[in-house]
Amino acid sequence: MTSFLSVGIDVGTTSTHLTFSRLTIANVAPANQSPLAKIEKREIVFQSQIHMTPLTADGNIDADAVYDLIAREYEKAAIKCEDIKVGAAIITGETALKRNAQEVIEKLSLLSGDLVAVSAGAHLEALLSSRGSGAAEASRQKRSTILNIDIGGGTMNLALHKNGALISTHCLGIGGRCVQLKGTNGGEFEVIAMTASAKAYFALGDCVFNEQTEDSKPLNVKLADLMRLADAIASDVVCFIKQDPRATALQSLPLTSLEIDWAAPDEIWLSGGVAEFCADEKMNRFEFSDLGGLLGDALVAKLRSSGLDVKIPNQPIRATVTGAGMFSMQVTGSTVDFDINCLPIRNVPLVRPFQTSEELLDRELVHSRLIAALARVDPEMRAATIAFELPTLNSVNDYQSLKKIAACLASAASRVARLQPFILIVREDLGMALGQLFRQAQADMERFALDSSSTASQKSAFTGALIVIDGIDTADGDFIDVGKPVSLDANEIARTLPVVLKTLVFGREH
Amino acid sequence: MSSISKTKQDELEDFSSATPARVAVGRAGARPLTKAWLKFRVDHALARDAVCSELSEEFIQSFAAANSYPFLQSAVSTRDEFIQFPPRGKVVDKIVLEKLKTICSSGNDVQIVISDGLSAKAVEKNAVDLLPMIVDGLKMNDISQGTPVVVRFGRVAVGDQIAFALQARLVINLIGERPGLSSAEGLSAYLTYNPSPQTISSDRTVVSNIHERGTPAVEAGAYIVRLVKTILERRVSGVELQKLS
Repeated sequence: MTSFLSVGIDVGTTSTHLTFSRLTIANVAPANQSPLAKIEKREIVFQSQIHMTPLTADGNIDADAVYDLIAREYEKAAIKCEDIKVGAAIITGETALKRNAQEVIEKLSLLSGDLVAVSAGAHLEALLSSRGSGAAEASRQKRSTILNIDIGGGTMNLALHKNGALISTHCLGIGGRCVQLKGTNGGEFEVIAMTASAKAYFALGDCVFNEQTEDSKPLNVKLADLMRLADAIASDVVCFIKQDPRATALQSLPLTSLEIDWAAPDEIWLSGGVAEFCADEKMNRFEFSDLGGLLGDALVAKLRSSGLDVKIPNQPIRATVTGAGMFSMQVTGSTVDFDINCLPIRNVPLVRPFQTSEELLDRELVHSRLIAALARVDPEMRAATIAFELPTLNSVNDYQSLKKIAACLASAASRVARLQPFILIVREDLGMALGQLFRQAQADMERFALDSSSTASQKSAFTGALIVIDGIDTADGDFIDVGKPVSLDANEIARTLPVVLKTLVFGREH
Repeated sequence: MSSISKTKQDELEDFSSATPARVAVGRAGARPLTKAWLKFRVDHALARDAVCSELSEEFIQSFAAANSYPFLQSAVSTRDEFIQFPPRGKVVDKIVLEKLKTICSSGNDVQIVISDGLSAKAVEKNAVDLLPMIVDGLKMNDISQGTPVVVRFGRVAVGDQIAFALQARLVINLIGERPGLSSAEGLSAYLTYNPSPQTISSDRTVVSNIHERGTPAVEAGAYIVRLVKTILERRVSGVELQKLS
């Protein structure tokens, strides 16, 4: 049994905060069976204050200020960066589009330990917040379909779970901070900033107030106007949930991505900063001088009136950060194969170049598929290496077939020698077997090369480093981080690798 | 069943598919449904067949003979005797052992023994994929090994005698497990350091449930190689190995 500290950091459009958790890994296989690693316990050990995300005068994230703020929370918790083994720092929603998101990420990397996935992307955020809110687990336990909507300042991230399994994630490019207001002025609010999404809403005909005002003149709106705007957004969200085509209006919003896979939800869970208003009726609706409070109210009202069951988890604003800290890490099977010197390894793109296991038995095909995948994913040859996920090997898990597959892969790997280490992800519990057969194939090729007196450089190409892992769910993302091994027993017979899957999206304006 | 709604039925199937155990099989009055009862009878019959199964002539030819693995028999002469008198399946006649010494190399790190145990079917099903993984893996790690020996009517302890006679440091006995009602094809690997007639059960490290729905044979093979390396390094197996820290 091994336990370690994990961090979750959430830098959002409006708020920034973090959580430290302790994760415990144990061997849960029955006695005398091949070991099975599992994260057995997840506990929160520290929750930071919720800070407003520091911005610079030109509206970018103030990377230095974010760094200082996070560093101070580390001090308060009396936790050092080197104590942190895993976790995720999430640059959420709209923030990820800011020009200096990359700079923030790099700064935060300095504060993180071995294997903290510092990343951005709506898919990962939606997934982690639905785990952090408890919606994913509730869906598993109740065998029901639950849609978690994490409503932040810039975006709404939706994750749909059925019987605990993720069906799809969606992102709607509008959030509580789409309109920023300045105090009341005789019953009117002055609009000091409006996002492209809010403007788009006005342009869609749900015109609450026209943009006839000139730039110089301050735009003043009434409470009723703001409520109508919140209602219009909420109605579209309900339409989307009901898969009503009228919701197509949402698609014109920046950042929005709607996946096709859908199932009618039994429950809607609301998390994120805006859901704080839903949890607390007494909270000042203009606490953050934006549309958040009204949007939360409108959403709850519209969802309920259309017959949907709405639930608000505890501490809704902390859903993403809790998910990032407690649910971003997975552990591989405990019979895997790896060259320890390559670990940890970060930001490796993950590809699935094969459709069926039969393709793996064709040496030339394997080679050409690897080359094609490489050209597609990494045309500029920037990534150090790429991880290849193999199709199901159930029909080829006999010794002879697997040996042939390992030989084809090892041959292809030697011809694409720049992939160091060569990383394979296997779905079934076959990682260690494939690793052994792969190494054997490498040794055979080397021996053959020696016999035919090839040069030393050619020889070294055959014995490249290798990582073969199994037992992980790769639905979480398209990039993988692999950490140093964790032993499940004192003799280090069974070792598992902590893994974090993630998505990386920077500045991809729609 | 008709009184259960469609979604409840789905839920039930979800739950029951999580285990091979006989849950949610339905009933007619106080008795199981005919379908469930027949399935139970079939599985029980398969388990009994497995216990009574013997290594087929075809398997002995294609597996043992073709690879020149010595094939011998415990001190038992029939399957019935083997089932009725367990201790007899643990020993091999002295004459047989003496002959084995003349045809096999001695003093190796590892001696592999393949025994039918309580399911010859399990051996026929899994040994073909499991054994070469272990043999390959040991070779790659420069661990010396004697010629694998195949035993008819063998129990776990039969490996101790064979390995002791051949002076191996470690014995691996790949043996058919006692069949259950969900699998009759499970194989176990018993690893024993310094095997001798004095070896007791707590000296053994075991990897069980090697079969299609358990640990795949090839994966178990690679894992057993890792176990062998550790046991040879630590010079101990079984409960004592687990106690080390």
